[in-house]
Amino acid sequence: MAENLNSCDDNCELILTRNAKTVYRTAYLRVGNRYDAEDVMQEVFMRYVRYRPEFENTEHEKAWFIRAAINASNTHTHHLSARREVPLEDDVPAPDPAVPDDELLQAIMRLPDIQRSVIQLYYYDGFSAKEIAEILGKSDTAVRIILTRAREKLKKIIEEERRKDQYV
Amino acid sequence: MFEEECRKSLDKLCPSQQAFDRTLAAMRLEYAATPRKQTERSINYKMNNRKFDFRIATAVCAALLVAVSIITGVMLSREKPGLPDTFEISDSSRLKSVRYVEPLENEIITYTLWRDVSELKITDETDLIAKVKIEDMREVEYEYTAVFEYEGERAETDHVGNGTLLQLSVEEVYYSADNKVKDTIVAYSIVSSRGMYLESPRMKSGDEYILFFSSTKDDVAQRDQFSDYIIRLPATASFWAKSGTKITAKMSEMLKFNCRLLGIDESVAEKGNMLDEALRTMFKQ
Repeated sequence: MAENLNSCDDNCELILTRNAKTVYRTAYLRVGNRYDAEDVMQEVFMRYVRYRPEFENTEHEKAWFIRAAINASNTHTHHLSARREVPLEDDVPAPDPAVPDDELLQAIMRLPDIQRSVIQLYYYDGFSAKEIAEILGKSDTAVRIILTRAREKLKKIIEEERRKDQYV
Repeated sequence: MFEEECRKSLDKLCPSQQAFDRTLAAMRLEYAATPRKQTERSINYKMNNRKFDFRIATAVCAALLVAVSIITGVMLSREKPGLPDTFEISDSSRLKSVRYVEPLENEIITYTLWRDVSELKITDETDLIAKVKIEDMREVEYEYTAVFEYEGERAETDHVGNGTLLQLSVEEVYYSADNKVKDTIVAYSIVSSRGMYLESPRMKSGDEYILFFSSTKDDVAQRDQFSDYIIRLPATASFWAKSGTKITAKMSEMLKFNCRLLGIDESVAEKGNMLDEALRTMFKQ
């Protein structure tokens, strides 16, 4: 047991430091708020500890965490919708203070889930269309189509927002 | 330029230090509490071999295709008793209780394909359990517009789905909801060889499997009339049982769960028993 704890002390922090941002970002783009994204992040790292997969390299590790974050976010959203909770009037959740005030990010958040994920994986994480296809279980062609549509939609959203601002 | 802007924007999404610390503490606790699982080895095996799997699989498939075409040629030259047009199943009413099967490695694969599954409206019902042989298989892609029902999800989002369309010859039927099964069926599976799903079976033409099917009711597959059945996932994938497969510890757990549902003696589902025989026993009792 002591050996386990020691190895966790060595590894857990390293793994978490290396992947926390990626997992959180992936989760945030799926669930849309900080609180749920942090819950998902915790769940993903718990899964890691439970299964302790061995990775070939850092790319493999990153892909595993992204996939796990997507799965956990879907489960989280599914459970939330299944509960169909109606908040009491005096129990209105506080506004998320961590929503960054960023035009492009707000526009990204208005894209469908799959387009958000592809934008993140392609432009931020630097995966190729082929690698994204493997992570998301889609074909290269599908990823390229999604990427093209996401870009077109982003452009449209930003243009609309700017037009609205002009009128205001 | 756009890439740089995207980077800057997405870089603003960072977990709080508090969340980081909380996660680390939870990991340490879980680490101490969770023994290393036996199944991990197999999961790792699949994960570690994923990359070469696709290459090797392509080579193996090509070799198999040649082998299958030779075997098919030989088989065609032989006289074989024809299968009836439909299979009559006696008293299958009690099997109605077999509604769902817990997927293997539930924690890891949960809802990998949830949205697709949701869109396809795959029911929890099993309409057909049969031993089938894969005659032909090809990957298909289709576009669809999803209208999600849960809160917070935007409707009318465009998706591109991909999966596998299989032509199967039915060799034995263990359960049929309507007692009418053709000797050849077309089934759709959302497993694609490109997927990273840990449960993806390595499907090969010419192989025999015992599969659980759902009929295509009110879904994309039916609308576009591209298949008679859907091979359910991930639950079904875990039951892909090639003839001669022995029951593993995990399969045993799942089968015992079904035995309990059916009120059948669990001993048929002991680890080490032959999977197809166990299923046959279970679904014929």
